Amino acid sequence: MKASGFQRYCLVLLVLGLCLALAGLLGSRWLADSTRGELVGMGVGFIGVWVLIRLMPRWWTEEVSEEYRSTASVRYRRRVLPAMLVYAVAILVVMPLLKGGTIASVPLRALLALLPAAPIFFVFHAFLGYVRAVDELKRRIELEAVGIGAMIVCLVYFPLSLLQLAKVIDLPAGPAMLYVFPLMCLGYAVGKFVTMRRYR
Amino acid sequence: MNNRLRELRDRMGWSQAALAEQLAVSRQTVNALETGKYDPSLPLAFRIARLFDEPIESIFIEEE
Repeated sequence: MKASGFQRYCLVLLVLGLCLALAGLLGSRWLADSTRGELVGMGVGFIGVWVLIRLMPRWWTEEVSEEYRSTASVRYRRRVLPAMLVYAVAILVVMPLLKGGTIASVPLRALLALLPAAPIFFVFHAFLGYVRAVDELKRRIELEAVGIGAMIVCLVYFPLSLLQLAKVIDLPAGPAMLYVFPLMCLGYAVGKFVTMRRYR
Repeated sequence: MNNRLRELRDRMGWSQAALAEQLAVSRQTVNALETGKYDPSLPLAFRIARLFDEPIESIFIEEE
């Protein structure tokens, strides 16, 4: 049977994940340890997404395959994929420079640190365009998913912040803030699954 | 809210995808409308009524 566009996309994710993980694992001669770690992390992330997609029920795969072919989805991917590529490259270039501690200038450090955030702005802009382009039910699904994602972030961070204020836990601020966006994405994915199931 | 969308679509011999294309919505939206899991907005309800040439209240029936 001929693979659908979505199945091919999943296969690309797997191959990309394996290439990145292998490059990280085998590149000790040419790459810094931190860069290798980031490559392995990205690779494992891609492979994890592929595994997760394979574990999803059939109805989900069928609905997502249909969504994948829609004009709004094609336009969204065309805008998001280059932005995510720029983000990944920016992370790989900027992080070793910042961790090296060789840049004394504070404004330059700030500029470098904020560089990976710029493509994320384009991702959000593309997502907004996607939400505006889809039909009314899909827009409702997207907005409910974002709402659930935001609630999950609040449900995790609010009790943690209270525990931190009560000096029960002592989380480092940097990583704690860094995980807001991935947690939001995870919450959105959970929310989208739940909402899609509700309206199917 | 109940509706006669499936009955009207069957009468025309259209698939869900064909009806979705004429209404400029996704097939999933047509499915959710037919199964009563989603009530359409007024503009979509008017498009459906125009397409089947029937009054809105004869397609969408409020539950008692």
